[in-house]
Amino acid sequence: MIDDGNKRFYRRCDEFAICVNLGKKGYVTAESPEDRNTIFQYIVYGKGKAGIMFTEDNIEFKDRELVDLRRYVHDYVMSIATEDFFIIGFNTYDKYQKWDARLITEEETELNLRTIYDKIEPVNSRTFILCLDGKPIVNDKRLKRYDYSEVFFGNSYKIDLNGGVLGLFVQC
Amino acid sequence: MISPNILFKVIRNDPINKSIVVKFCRENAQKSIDEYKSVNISYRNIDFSSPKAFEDSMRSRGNPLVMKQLINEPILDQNKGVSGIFSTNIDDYIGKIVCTTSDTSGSLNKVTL
Repeated sequence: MIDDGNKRFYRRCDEFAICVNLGKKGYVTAESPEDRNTIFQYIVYGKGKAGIMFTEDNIEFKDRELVDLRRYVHDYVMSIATEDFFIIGFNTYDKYQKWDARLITEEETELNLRTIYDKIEPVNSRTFILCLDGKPIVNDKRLKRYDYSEVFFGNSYKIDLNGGVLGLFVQC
Repeated sequence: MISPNILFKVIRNDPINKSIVVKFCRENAQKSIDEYKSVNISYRNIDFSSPKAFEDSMRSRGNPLVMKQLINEPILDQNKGVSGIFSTNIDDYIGKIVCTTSDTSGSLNKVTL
């Protein structure tokens, strides 16, 4: 079977997985909580809407946004694309594991977890950067899409987004 | 979803055991339907309520078998490709046969900074 409305593939590492969806305007999905572990989505391009099935609870998403879907992870979720789309979903293996995420901004030329954690060394937290678009440069290494790295407390990371997009994901 | 047209040929009806023996293949298969394996289908999995319903139920039983046949078809020697060139330079691909598999999973690339 060939699903020509949506091309999907997965990439995994030990701590998380991503699902990549490329599709056409008008594509509709309905997912049960058993199949859905997506807690964040980065919209490379496209627009659409996602929400809990048969309710008014929904959110709209658009280009270059990191969408927080954590509150939907235990629900039946429907989505519709109102434009052709390219979406990268960030998935946890354990829905009860707490994650936080944001995009690294152009102004952040240095990433130092000491400033994020307010100088208290985190006990269980782990932090990852994931390249979501373009070819950002971190510590003089040029990343490509879907490259990831764990970043460690106490280390400092020089960042040049170089027009690209880096997500910062924290396993709390 | 796109799926091929499916041919089916009922080989035998077995009213005692309430089943039929059928062969399936896709319409554009490159060998005769008679060369494919027969399968047994219970009446329970067939909808006899109308001719259209009967064909629909045969299609739903045949579709996974036909897709399996398609995947198991032999590869022509001249179509054997390499698994990946690992380049984004289009010139590296010119004249080469590259095989992209139907496996949509893989590992994320970890970078040490």
